[in-house]
Amino acid sequence: MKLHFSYSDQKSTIPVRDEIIEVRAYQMIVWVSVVPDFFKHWDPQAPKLPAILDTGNNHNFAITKDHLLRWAGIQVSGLVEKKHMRERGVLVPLHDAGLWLHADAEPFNLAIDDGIAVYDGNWPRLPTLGLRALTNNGLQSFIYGDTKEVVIRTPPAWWWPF
Amino acid sequence: METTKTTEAPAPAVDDLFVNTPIGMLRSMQAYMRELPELLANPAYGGWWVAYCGNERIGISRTGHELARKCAARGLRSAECYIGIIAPQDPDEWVGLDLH
Repeated sequence: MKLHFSYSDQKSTIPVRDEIIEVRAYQMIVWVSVVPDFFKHWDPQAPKLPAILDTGNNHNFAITKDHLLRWAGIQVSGLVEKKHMRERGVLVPLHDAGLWLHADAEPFNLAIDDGIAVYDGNWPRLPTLGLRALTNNGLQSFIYGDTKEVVIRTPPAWWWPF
Repeated sequence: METTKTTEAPAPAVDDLFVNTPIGMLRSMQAYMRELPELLANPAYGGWWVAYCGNERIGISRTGHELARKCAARGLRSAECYIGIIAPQDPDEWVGLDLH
């Protein structure tokens, strides 16, 4: 799996469904699909939604109930609740879900052991893909500040020099 | 004569502390937490994944999706299983699970 994309040092916009979303400068946007069942195969009908790649976030994936419904077409009540994480003293529910990262060739199934965090209210402003999802799936991530490009990939099968 | 009909109490459908979590998934998570120290003691499993259905360990694999496929092939539903990574866990994220 390889995903190669660029980010901007300027504010920009992206279309999501019938909305125009503001992307702030230096925000790295990846596209994901959330599906209700971790066991299911890839569903080509699953909607794509943007997520900020946030290596400072220590969890898998965070989304608001509102974005989950509007962009992924999923009612949070349709997702099995797994457990809670404690964040700033508040318990946030983690829900069982399948998460697919849209890569250059085909979507990549991110294994999410603890589920996704679903928030009430309007934070996070955009869904967030955290470092745990990359780490637990053994993905390599490269940020090229000189060209403002990002590469996320599965480790190559071999290294040079041998 | 009065007859008393005794019925066996049905198994609880939910846990009293985790009313929103399917009982099968909860029991699978508890099995995972119980056996995690033993799995962590084997460095060969570091970063691998393990799947449970209740107290039964379904398998250990390098990837979570492989275990998901294995569970699905056995006809299991994700709501009755837990597939977790073999890595140290933050107790703050397992609130109350150790109370049973």
